[in-house]
Amino acid sequence: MLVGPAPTTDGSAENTLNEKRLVHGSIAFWLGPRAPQTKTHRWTVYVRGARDPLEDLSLYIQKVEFVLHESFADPVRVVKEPPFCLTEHGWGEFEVIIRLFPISDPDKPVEMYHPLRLFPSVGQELTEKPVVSEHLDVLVFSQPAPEVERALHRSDVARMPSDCWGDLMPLFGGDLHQVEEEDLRKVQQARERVRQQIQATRLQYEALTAELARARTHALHRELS
Amino acid sequence: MSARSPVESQALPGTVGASTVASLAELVTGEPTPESSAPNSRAQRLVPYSGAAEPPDNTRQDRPAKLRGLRREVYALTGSAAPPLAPRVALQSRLPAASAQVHYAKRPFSNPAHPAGAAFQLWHWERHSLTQRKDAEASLTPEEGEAASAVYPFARFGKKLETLRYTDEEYSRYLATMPVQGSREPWTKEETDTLFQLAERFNLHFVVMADRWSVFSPSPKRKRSVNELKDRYYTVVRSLAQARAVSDPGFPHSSQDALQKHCRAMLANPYDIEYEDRRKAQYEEQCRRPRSELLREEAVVQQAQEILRARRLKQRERRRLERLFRRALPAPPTIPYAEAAASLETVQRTEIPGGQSASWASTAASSAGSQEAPPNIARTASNVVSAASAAVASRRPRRASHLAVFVRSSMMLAPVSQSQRVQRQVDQMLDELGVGIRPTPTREICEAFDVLRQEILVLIELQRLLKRKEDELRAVRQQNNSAPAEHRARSKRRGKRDHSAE
Repeated sequence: MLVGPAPTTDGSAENTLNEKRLVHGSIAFWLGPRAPQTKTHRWTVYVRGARDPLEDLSLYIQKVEFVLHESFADPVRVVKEPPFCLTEHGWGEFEVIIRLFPISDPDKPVEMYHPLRLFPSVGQELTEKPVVSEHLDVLVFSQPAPEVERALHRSDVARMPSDCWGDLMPLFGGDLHQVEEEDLRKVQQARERVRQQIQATRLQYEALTAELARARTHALHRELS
Repeated sequence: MSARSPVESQALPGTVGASTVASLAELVTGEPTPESSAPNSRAQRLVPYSGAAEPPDNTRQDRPAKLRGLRREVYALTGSAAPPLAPRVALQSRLPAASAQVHYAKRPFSNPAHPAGAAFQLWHWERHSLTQRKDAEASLTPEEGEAASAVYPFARFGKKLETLRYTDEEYSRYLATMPVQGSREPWTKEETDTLFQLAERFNLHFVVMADRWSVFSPSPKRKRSVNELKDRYYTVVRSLAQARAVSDPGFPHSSQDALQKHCRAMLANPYDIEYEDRRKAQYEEQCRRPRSELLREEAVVQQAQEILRARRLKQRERRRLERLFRRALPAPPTIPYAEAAASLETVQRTEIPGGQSASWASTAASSAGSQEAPPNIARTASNVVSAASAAVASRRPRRASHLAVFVRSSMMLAPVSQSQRVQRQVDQMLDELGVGIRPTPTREICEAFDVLRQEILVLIELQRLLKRKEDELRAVRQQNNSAPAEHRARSKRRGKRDHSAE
C-alpha cells in the first residue's frame, strides 16, 4: 500500500514511497466462567496492513516470529505464510515481541512490541465482547534496491483472498487515522505544557537568583558592620 | 647446669623469683655455689611464663616437692629462694682494671693567627698516649718532644681576608675622578683608606664596620650608613678591577684565587645603592606595621577571594543555563519549504526569547514579555513542531537509521538519557502528560515526540537547578537569622563590660 503524503509532512517522493504503515494488534475472546483457569481466553495476535487488511505483506516480509511469554511451551513461534497471525489460549497479559524478517535483508529482523490485552479497561465487566488492541507502526525502507521497490509497489495492488482472516475481519479497527491525530494533538499539547513549565521554572529560578543575591548582600553588610 | 644460667635468667624480665640468696656467695667468690642452681631451676619450672631462655632441666633427680596452694611471691620468700638485697653485677663484665691510668702532659703550642706569630707561645694539656704517638712519628725522645712547640691544630681554619689594594697613583687616576652620586657626601682618600682597613680587619662585615666607623673615621662628624660603606667599597673595587682588566687583559679570569673571584663577582653585579635604600626602607615599613592592620588586610583579601569565587560560580551557572536553553531550542533548521522558512521567524521569536546568542540579561528581561506568547505559539504550533523537530532529528544520532529497514517505533524506544534515573523521570512525565511512552509512531509524531523528550530533559535539569538554588537560599537565610542573635549577644556583653568599667 502506498502511503499518501500527509499534508503536514514533507512529501518528497522517495520518503513516502519507502514507508509501509502496518498495524500490530490482538483480539481476545473470553471463554466464559467455565473455562479452565489457565485458559480463560482465546487470543490472536497479528500483523496487517493499515489501510487494507487484505494487503499481502509476504511480498516484502519473508516471515514473522512471535515471541510469547516464557511460560508458553516453545515461546518462539514462526509464521511463514500470510496472513501473519497466531492464535493461542491463555490467562494473562504480556508483551509479545513481533519480529519481522524483511525479504531484502532477512538477517536483520525488525522488532515491534505488542502489549497483549485480554481484559477490557478497568471498571468494565468481563463480557463476551472481544477485546481489540491495535497499534500503528511504520516500516521504513531506506534506499531500497530496485527489486525491493518493485515488490513494495506490487504489494499496493496484490491482495490476499478475502476470507483469509476468517471471522476476525470485521473486528479490525481500520487505518487508525483518528488515533494518530489524537496522539499528535496530545504530543503537541504536552509540548505546550512542558514549555510553559520551563518558562515558569525559569522565572522562578530568576526570582530565586535575585533573592539569593539580596540575601547575600544582606549577609555581607551585616558582617562588615 | 652451667655456671652461666643464673646470670642469664637474672637478666630476663619476670624471673625475679629466681634470684637467690646463694648468689651473694657467688658474688663474693665468683663461683656458682651448688645451692644456687637448684632453686633457680625450680623457679624456672614453677613459673612457666617466666620466659626463661633455657628449657627446664627435667633430667635432674633432686626435684623439689610440687608447689600447692601457695602464691608464687610468698613461695619466693621461703628458703634459699629469697630475692636479692642488692642488684647483681655480672662478674665477667666488670670495668677494666684501674691500672690503665690516663696521664696528661703540658705541652707548648703556637697560633699563627696571633699577630706575634710563633713568638707568642701558649700551653695546653695533652693526653700522654697521644703525645707519645706524636713523638714516635716525629722520632723524638720524650725530652725533645716536651721542648718542641706544636702548631695549633685548628689554625688551618683561620683564614684572613685579602682585599684589593690600590696605590696612590691608582687612586688619583681612577678613583679621585669618580663622579659623586646624587646628594651624597663625597669620599676623601683618608676615608677610603680607613674603609679598606676596616674591611680587612672585620672581614667585610659591613654592619660591624658601620658600627665602628665613628671611632676610626678621620672625619667623625660625617655619618656613613651601612649602605654607603658598601657602596663605596664595592664601587672602588669595581672600578679598580675594570682599570686592571684594561691594562691586563686576563686579569680577573687568569686564576681561581679568592681575590679574583671577588673581582669577577664585583664586575658581574654592580651595587645599586638606590635600590638597596628603597628595599630596606620598604622592609622597615612592613616590619613596623601594626598587627591589627595586617589582620584587617588579610580579611579584605579573603573577602575579595570570596567575591571572586562567587562570581566565577555565577558565570559557570549562567553558561550552563545558556547551554541548556540552546539545547532545548533548536538551531535554525534547513527546511526546503518556503512556508516552514517563513514560520521559522515566528519560531525563533516565540520559542527563544532573546535568541541564542543574546546575553543572559536580555534573555531575562524578555522572558517576562514572552508570557503573552502562548496564543501566538498555539497558532503556529504545527509549524513549530515540524521546524523544530526537523532540526532535532537532523542533530540527534539515531539508533535505527543506519539500518536498511526499520520501524519508527524503535526510535521512540531509544533512551534519551544515559542515566536510568533520568530516563525513568522522563517516562513518568510522559505518562503524566497523557502522551505515554509509545504514541503512534508516524513520522510527524516521532519528531514532535523527540523534541518533547528533549524539552522534558531540560525541564528536569531546570527543576534540579531550582532545587539547588532553593537550598542555597535557605542556607544563607539561616545564616542571616542566626547571625543577628550572635551579634546582639556580643554587643550586649560589650555593653555590660563598659558599664562595669564605669
